[in-house]
Amino acid sequence: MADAASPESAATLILLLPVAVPLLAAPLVAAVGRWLPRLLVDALALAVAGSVLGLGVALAVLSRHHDVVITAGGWGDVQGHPVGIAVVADPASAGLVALAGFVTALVLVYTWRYFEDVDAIWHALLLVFLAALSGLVLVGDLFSLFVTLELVSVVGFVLTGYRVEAERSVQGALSFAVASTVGGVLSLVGIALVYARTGELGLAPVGRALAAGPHDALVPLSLGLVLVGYLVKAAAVPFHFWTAGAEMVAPTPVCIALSGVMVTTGVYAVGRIYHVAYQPALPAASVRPTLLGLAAVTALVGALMSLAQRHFKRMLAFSTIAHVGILLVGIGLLSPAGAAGAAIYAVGHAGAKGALFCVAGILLSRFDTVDEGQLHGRGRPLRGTAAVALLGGLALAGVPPFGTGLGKAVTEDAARRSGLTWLVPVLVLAAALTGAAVLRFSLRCFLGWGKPAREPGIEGRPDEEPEPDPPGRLLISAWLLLALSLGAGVAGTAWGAAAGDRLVDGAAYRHAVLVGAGPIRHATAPAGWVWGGVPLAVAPVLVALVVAVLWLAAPPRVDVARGVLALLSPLRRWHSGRVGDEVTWMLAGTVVIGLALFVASR
Amino acid sequence: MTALAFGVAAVVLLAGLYGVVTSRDYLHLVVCLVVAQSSTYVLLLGIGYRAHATAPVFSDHPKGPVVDPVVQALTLTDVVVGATVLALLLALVVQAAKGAGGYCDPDALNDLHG
Repeated sequence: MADAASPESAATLILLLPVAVPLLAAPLVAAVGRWLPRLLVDALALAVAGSVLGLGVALAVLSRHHDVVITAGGWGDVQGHPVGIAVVADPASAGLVALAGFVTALVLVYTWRYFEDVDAIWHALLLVFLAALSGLVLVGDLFSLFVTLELVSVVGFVLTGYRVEAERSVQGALSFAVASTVGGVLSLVGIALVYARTGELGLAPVGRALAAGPHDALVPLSLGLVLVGYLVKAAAVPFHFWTAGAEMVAPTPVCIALSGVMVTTGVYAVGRIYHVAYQPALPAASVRPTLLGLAAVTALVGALMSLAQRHFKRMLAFSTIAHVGILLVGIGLLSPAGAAGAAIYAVGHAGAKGALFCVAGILLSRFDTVDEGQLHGRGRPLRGTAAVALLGGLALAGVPPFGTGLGKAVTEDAARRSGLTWLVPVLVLAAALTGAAVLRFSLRCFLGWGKPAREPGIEGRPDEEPEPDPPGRLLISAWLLLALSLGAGVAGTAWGAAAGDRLVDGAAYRHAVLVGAGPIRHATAPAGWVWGGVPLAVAPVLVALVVAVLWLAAPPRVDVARGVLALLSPLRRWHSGRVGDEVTWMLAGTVVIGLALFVASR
Repeated sequence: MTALAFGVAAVVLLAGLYGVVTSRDYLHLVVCLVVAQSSTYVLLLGIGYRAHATAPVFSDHPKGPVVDPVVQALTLTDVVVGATVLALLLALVVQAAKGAGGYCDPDALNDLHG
């Protein structure tokens, strides 16, 4: 490389390591793991995940003044432009790499006690998953994005169906696999269309070439198609049907990784692809309505469905969908402040949701069920678990100073300043209802509130595959994940503002790849707690508490549960669990997004 | 020629997706998914096609116009990715069919709803 002698070379080499280290370690772990003691395999995998966390943090620090870019392939410059696959780190992508490393490390700590008889292949799969996620956030090239997306899918559905002997695990994995593959094919068609127009695949060169025009129908339609693959990963409505099934039946540690990191990566890719490749050709005003419409529907459908569940993991899966909606609002505002809110929210959500899935795993291993009715009052002896569950529920509702609260407050502020005040109640409702669902579950399970009888209208589900009995040490991961969520709210401001600024600054990214890293604009995104935001932060928490208490403790004449469930029955019937229906809705969603982008760009 | 390739790609994609949506057998569904995936090969190769050009092999050919080598690389990668996905899907279908007595209707496997 031409820049090998420059002081940047160390930074650029670090850039490839978050992908290379886990990808090289994985086959090693798989090959020799059989002959090593379990403890050594765990330690090795944990060291690799920890090193990715360290690399992510190092990259975030190195890239705080300008993007760190490497053009892999080493073909040198052609006509003044680097030819090759750009790999780019900025605070947003480096932060996500660090988040992926942290969550994977905690997943490994959790499985240490969770799966007694796990093979080394499990560790290898988790490391490949980590490598694929790191690749997905770092590469700046449409086709490499597609390849990493497919790698995430393949490892994701292998992990989901890890217990192949459990029938429902296989069903969940199949539904995930079909949705991912259809999304991947549609994305690839979009990429092919972009390549046909521009002759480029790199995000930055595509952005430059599309800016030159013509600005015809191909531009919005190809954007719509390219985004579908990532929206499937992000679990945005109506591409979300696989999520509830997969996260209901996947091993609990996998749910932590899927909900904590993978969906976030999908949302990030949506923002990255738009800002770098499409922003010059499609002004923000023509894309914002589509993204925000999608975001609002996702937030509301996820929140309402979450409230209607009694299976704890399925409830958490739908609440993830609702929170993806909140993330998409932040990204879809296409403003630095919105993206800053989404960045902080992503970390806060990964922590809170991961901790709640830890709770689900503990309940599953102790009682062989996570059904709300069957668990009534049985969780009383588990004080630590109850504390995590209640704090997690409050965190989902956005109680300060959790990262979910700060992220939501910053996003709401950004929405108001963009003149889109209607988004504020959507965010409040999504946070309140998902918090209410988890609080209701926790109060019933751990404190014995409400009736042990089943709610009408929800059939009981057969119990899950039993998971091995864990000691209280499983709670270590849960507390560390809650600490992450808290940390994002207390100390995430500076990083969030930088990540938001840089994610929406497509021009700086293109300049860094095509010409060379230059200084960037600094901190325009205000991202901190403000006293004026306190009522909005407290409102969803109060609503969540009121809904949870009313659900459990309302007098029999006012049966809140029955009423709400009756109201939600059309929505629940919509989630029929049939693969054909799911793909149909995905295709309909693709058409609607394509048309909306096309109409708005006229 | 290119218009024909695009038309074929569109028809193959839609036929594959129609099959996925209406399938009554998971094995059939996976094959339909592969059909849909194959449309991307046709599309990519159609995009890189140039009339009267040869394959993009430079070692033992006289100099002359060649078709776009980039799309050929993309197609090859796509084939590899597609094969991986297909293999895993089939493995899952075999597992699902074991539980369902050999024949595997996707709609019979919908415990995960509501």
